[in-house]
Amino acid sequence: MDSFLFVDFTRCIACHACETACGREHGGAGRLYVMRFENAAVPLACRQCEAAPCVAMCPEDALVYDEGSGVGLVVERCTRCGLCVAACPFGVMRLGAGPGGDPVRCDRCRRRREEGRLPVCVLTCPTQALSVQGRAVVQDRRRIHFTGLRVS
Amino acid sequence: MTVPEFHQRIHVDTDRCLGCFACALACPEGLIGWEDGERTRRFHAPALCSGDCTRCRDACPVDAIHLEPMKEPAPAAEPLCWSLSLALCRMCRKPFTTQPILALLTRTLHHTVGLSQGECHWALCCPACRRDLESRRLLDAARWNR
Ligand code: SF4
Ligand code: SF4
Ligand code: SF4
Ligand code: SF4
Repeated sequence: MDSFLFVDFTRCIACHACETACGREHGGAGRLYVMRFENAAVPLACRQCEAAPCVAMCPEDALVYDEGSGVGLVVERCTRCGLCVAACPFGVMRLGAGPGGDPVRCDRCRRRREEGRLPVCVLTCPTQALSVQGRAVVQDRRRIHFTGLRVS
Repeated sequence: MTVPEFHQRIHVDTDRCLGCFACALACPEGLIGWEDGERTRRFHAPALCSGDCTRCRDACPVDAIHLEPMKEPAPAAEPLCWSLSLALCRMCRKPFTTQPILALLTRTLHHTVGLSQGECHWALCCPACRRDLESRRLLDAARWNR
């Protein structure tokens, strides 16, 4: 199943529905960040970088990159040191609320994906700004240009 | 004065410490603490520990903690205290991590991810400013592609 989140931000109307849906699915605050500007809005979420700085920084091998599904967290290995948060080039990873919260980022709704269902943000977005696509489609939007990183 | 119930001595290599506070989060007794000031993060920990776990040591990503088992009761000792400089965001000037973590990030981006220093100005910014930078970059790119 295609599993990379594709954001067509030119369609986004900044309703924050995706953020709310994401928060409800995972508990706590949403893992998308809808950035608002005067006449535009940009929803940001984890890009599943191929050469991921968060994966490179993690001292416990708790973050692993998988060709088919992107970056995943092995929660039992994580010590909550927060080095991954410092490493994310897009600022879309944070430590969960409260003392000892796990690192929190878009996991493309792992639980739902394993059941073959769509992420809740994709289902909720009223303007179809969010969709799930294969790696190839999403990679056309690589951002080598901007951050020097190969990202999905 | 002797304190027989304490049976391990905590040593922290403060030159190695990154200031990540994994040790503080790992300690089941909450014996290790930290506060952030304007420019420094200050840690405190007891010199002697009555627990028999090794969780702080195991959590530390740089092996900065050494636990020395004590065979004999030891006299009470001054608590440990160490501090690290915070790194301020280049855009908003708010602290977002420690200097040693930032230095490690720069090295990692260079050696592991293959980014040169010129390619990662974003590393000097806090997460909120990185989001701002990225969304402006995307908007600019969309304008160019039209
Ligand atoms: S917080 Fe967890 S996932 Fe992040 S770098 Fe530390 S051990 Fe790795
Ligand atoms: S795919 Fe799931 S985890 Fe990711 S932003 Fe959407 S709702 Fe949140
Ligand atoms: S739900 Fe869709 S339109 Fe609303 S903020 Fe999210 S991406 Fe934008
Ligand atoms: S876990 Fe290690 S590096 Fe992190 S604050 Fe504690 S002693 Fe320092």
